[in-house]
Amino acid sequence: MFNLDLAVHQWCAEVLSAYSIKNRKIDELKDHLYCLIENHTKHGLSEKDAFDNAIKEIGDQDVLKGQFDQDLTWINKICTFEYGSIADGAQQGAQVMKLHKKTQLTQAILWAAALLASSLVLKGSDQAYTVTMLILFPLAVVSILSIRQQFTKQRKSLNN
Amino acid sequence: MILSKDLVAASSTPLILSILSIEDSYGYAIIQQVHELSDGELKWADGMLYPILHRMEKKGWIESFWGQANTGRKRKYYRLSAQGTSELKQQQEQWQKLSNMISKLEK
Repeated sequence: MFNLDLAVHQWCAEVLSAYSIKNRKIDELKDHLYCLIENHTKHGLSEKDAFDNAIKEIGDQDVLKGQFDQDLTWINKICTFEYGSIADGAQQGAQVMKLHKKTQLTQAILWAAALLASSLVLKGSDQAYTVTMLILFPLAVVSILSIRQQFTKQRKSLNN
Repeated sequence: MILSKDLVAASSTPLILSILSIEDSYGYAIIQQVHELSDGELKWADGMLYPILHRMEKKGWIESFWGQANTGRKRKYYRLSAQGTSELKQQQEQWQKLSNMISKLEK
């Protein structure tokens, strides 16, 4: 048995977590989603079909992207640069953003370890600046490019 | 009648200001009202309206407040501010002027 309120709640929770948006904006979006659903049910669609259609409309029209890209924090802006576009649609966006979060955490741990290790090894060395520029900087560029490529592949596979 | 993308974008602000000058409203209702006003010829995409509303709010032309729908659901309403009223007057004059100019050139 389809539970409309639960479906809307789950969808909003997914979008909220995926896009790191403010609660107040999800409330406005939730109301808009309900209005679309009510309009579809008035025209004879079942709640399930009305929900599916409403989500498709919102996703297709990129309401999320247009609205929430403006809410990106500086850290998310950096991540968007690193990962490519934040989302090409609501459902796809949610899946890709989950992967973003995992990658963010892994990257943060790896880079913190790398910086700590290098600072311990290079402590007091005259070559610290050169080593940083020759090793850590190129490593960061390669890391960004490889992650970007990985996410582009992921988005393509979700599109197919 | 199909309006060009540019014209739709340019006319959105005066339309929203005009709608809100009559009564407070919310996103979905504004889209529906525009659709009805145009006799079904103009259908704004859902994604188009909210960024415009938020921009207009930042400019101080409109104000938002939380209310309750008939269903009891939380709903964000928008109303025209004093600044928005004078902006609407200016925009109406500009559109009127343009319309008059075009009319004068009609044979």
